[in-house]
Order: sequence, then C-alpha cells, then structure tokens
Amino acid sequence: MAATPAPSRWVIPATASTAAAAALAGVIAIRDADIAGPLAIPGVIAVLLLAAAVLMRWTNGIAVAVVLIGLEYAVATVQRGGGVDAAAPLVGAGLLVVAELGHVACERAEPHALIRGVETRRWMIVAAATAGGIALAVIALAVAQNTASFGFGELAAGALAVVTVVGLLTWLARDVRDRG
Amino acid sequence: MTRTAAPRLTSYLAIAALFLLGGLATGRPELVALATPFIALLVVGLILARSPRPIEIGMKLTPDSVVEGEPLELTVDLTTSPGIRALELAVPAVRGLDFASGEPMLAVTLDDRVPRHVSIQLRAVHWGVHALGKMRTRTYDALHLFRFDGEADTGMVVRVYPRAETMRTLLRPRRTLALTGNRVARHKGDGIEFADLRPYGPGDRVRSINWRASARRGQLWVNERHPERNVDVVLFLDTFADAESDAGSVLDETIRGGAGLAAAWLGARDRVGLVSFGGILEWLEAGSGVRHAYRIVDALLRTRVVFSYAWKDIDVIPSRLLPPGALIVALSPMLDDRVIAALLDLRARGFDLVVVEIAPEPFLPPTRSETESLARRLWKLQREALRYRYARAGAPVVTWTTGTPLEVVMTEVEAWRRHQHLRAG
Repeated sequence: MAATPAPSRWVIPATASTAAAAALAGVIAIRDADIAGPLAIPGVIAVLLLAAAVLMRWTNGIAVAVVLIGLEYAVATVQRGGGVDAAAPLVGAGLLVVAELGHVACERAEPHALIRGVETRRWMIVAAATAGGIALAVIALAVAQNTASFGFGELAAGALAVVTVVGLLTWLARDVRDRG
Repeated sequence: MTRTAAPRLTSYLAIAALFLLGGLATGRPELVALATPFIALLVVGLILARSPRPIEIGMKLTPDSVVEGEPLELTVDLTTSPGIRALELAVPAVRGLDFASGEPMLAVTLDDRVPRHVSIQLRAVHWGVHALGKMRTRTYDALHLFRFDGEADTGMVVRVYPRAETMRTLLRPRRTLALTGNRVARHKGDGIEFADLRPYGPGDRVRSINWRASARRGQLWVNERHPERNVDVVLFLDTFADAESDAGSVLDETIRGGAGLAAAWLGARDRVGLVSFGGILEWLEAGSGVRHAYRIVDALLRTRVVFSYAWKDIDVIPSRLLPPGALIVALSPMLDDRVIAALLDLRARGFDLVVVEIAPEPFLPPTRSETESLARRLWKLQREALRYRYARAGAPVVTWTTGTPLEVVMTEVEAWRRHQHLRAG
C-alpha cells in the first residue's frame, strides 16, 4: 500500500497557485471598472476550477482555468481597444506561474516523493524561460505597435507562424519509444 | 526506454495555440504576448529533454529462499548516465511478498557517475515459488515535460517455504516395515524396548537371559523385545477443491500441515511419499533422508488447485505409490466427492487411513439470511454424517481448524484408535 504524502507538501503550491490566479483575475477585472462585473465571471469560474483541479489532481482543469483567465484578459483588451497593452507579457508570465504551481501541487500529491534538489533546478529553468518569454513578448508587442497596418498578408503570415510553431512543438513533443 | 509526454506538455501546447489563434482572430498582439512564456518554456524544455542512456541495474536478493514470515532484502545497484538526478523505482508486486516499508515505489536521488545502492526490505507472506518479475524505472527531464520509462528483468526467483507445523509426537502406525527406524514395532524381535518374558528355548542367545527372573523361577527365562522399525507414510493431499478468504485458504493449511507432517516423519527416519490428488495428479514416491525432505518441500511448493470436471478414482494412482501397510494421512477439506470416494476406496483396500479434515468453515462467507443459515446447518449435518461413515469404515476423521496445533489433532487420532481398540475388546 502506498503511503499518503504529507498535506504540507502539496498544499503550499496549491494555495499559491489559486491565490496567484485570483490576484491575476482580480487585477484584470479591476483595470476595466466599467465591465468589472461581467469580466469577473470567467475569472471566478477559473479560480474555483483551478482550486478543484488542484485538489483532485486534474491537470486538464488547470489548463482550462488558465485559458479562462486568458479569455477574461482577451475580452478586456478587445473591449478597451486602442493601443497595445504593455502589461500583456506580465499577464502571460503570471499565467505560466499559475499553471506551474498548479502542476507542482498535483505532482507533489503523488505518493512517491519529489526530490528537493531536482525541484530547485526545475524552478530555475522555469524562471529563466519566463524571463525569456517576457522578453520575446515585449519584442512581439513592439513589432506589432510599429506595424502600420494589419491586412491579409499579415494575417496569412501570422497563421503560418502559428501553424509552424505549434507543429514544430508537437513534433518535438511526440512520444518516442526506443530500445534502451 | 519509452519517452512519454507529460499532460503538462500537451496542456501548454494547447494554451499557446489557443492564445496565438485568439491573437490572430482578434488582431490583438497582447494575446500573442500571453502565449510567449508558454512557448519559451516549451522550447527550453524540449531542448533540454534528451533521452537518457539506459540505467544499469544490478540486483541481489538475500536470502533467495525463506520460510513464510521471514524478511528478505533486495539490494538494487543503480548506475545512471550523467544528467539524471532523480529516479523512481517500482518494485514489482508479487503476491507472496510484501513490502516491509509499505512502499512499492521509491524515489531515489542520484549523483552522476556514482552508483547508488538502494535497499528494499521485503517480507515473505505466502509460500510458493515467486518470480520477482520486471523492475520499472522512471526518470524525468529537467522540466518534467517528459517521463522516461524503463524496465529491467530481475530474473530472480524466491522460494518461500511454508511455515511447517511443529510435531513433537507422531502418530503410531498400525503396521511397521522391515527396515530399521525409530518406531517401536508392535511385534517382538531384536530391539531395545522391553516387551515380555518367556522361558528359554533352543537357539536363544545367552545375553537375552533375564537372570533375575530366572533365579526367582528356578529355570531360565529370556527377555523379549520390540524391534525398532520404520513406516511408510503417504501424504494424500486433496487439490480438487479450495476455499479461500482474506485470512488464507484451505490449500495454505493443507501445505503447511503436509510440510509439518513430512518433516516430522522424515526426522524419525520413516519413508514419506506424497500424492497430490486433484485436477492434475502429482506424486512423489516414498523415500527418506534430507534430500527427500527437500524433494517433498519442492513438490509442496508446486501444489496448485486445478479445477476439473473429470471423474478420478483411486485406480489412476500408480500402485507403487501406495506400499502395502503404509499409513495414509489424507489432508482434505472433504468438499469433493471424488476425494471422498477415493479415500473410502483406500480404506476398503485395507490401508491404514487417517483423514485430517481441513475445516473450510473459517474461509466461508457469513450467512446473510435465514435460508442461508438453514442451508449451512444442513451442510454441516451432511459433513457430520460423512465423518460417521468414515468412522464406521475404520478411518478416523479429525478436524483441523486454523490456529489449532496439528499435534493436538493427531493426538485425537490416537485417542480414537485407543477407544476403538477398547470397544473391540
């Protein structure tokens, strides 16, 4: 019979993930006071879903919660209109941190123990990737801001870029079976 | 090694794709900015995720044969390729072995190039020959985006011997054989045990003269003695039917009882044979000595209940397995008509038969209704009638329930025989 892990091992990242998601959803809703009420709906659902997903070790639920907060942000951005929102890279980084904390909580709730030294290395890589992601996002936003028009050519190029990125990542992420 | 993507990887891919498509659909670059941290993490993770080289696993099990209840230690030596910091090690679950620590899966931290020794404490809980099977390993990449599963065949076999019942006194057989043993024969001859006195006759040895008795009677009297002989014992195991629960099974008790009886009789220099009468007929001819004791234990370890509809009677047993005058000790739950008929047939052929009934009642589920209780009572009455039928045939049936020493049960047989002897006059 497998031993049940101590709750303290997974409760801390679970709480941190839910709190970060609540803070993010709250900030997005508060920024647009006019539609704060309707905006808060997907945010609240996302936070509740995330809490349930972490408690039940339902990893797909974490992804859905992140997408819901992203949806809240997308609605707010589209509704606001105007220039590019400079806070978007930080929101993206925040969403990544929420997802990572949620997954760490799920992994720590597994019966076999995670090893601390390994987790430290993992968090260092996550921090570096997040910083890189923020930098990339800032560059992308700057390029978008300086682009005069958004026509069919840009749309086609964007679609091609999306397909390429997702296709490449999917190919790299495929399951591989080799004889060891 | 098998590389499998973690659910997180597909989740992040989906999130990034959705945000990118959302950005395209709405024409808002902010949504692309939401996707970039996820894409950056995936790119870094995929670059770092290289399939590790196979992990070298050396295993040693000490000891490789134990008695039920005894501990075992499985030592695993792990040598991994650089980069693997942690490893999950899953020891295969084997029915007869239990994890003393209660953890079939272990997390092990590793240092590059330095072999790591992991000690796993096991406990033998059930008799049998247990193959340890395949040990599974699982490692992760730095970001836990992939897991790498490997298997290593342990190729190890553990022999768990049944915890034998201790027997200090043995059942006295009706007849002994011509070979020398530890059993005092009923007839008179050369031996140690005093039997009787009789007048001196031609051919009697001088050393047999009882001088004290001769002086008292005024003529020569000699001592008569009982010779020490051995016996042939055939353990007759019923493997047609079984009854089992979480507490154990009838077969477990049969094997434990058989092992105890065989050890006790072999220890007394008797010859012991084994007949496993069931769906598959297995046997071991009567023999004695240490080597034969191991043969019997190995035969017991192979014993299984094999379900069969085919009718079998005593004729299927080769006659050489049942030497004339042998004491046949049957260990049976008395649940199968074929065994019941075969044992009565043996008794009818003049064999000295003792039936140790392994009580199946402790392994039966409790009755849930009045009808079931009534049926159970009727069934018990039928069994009682069956015991009476055996007793009428001259074969005692003693019931051995879990927890009762087998020696006590065998004492009941002696008492039954004494009673029958007195009744016969």
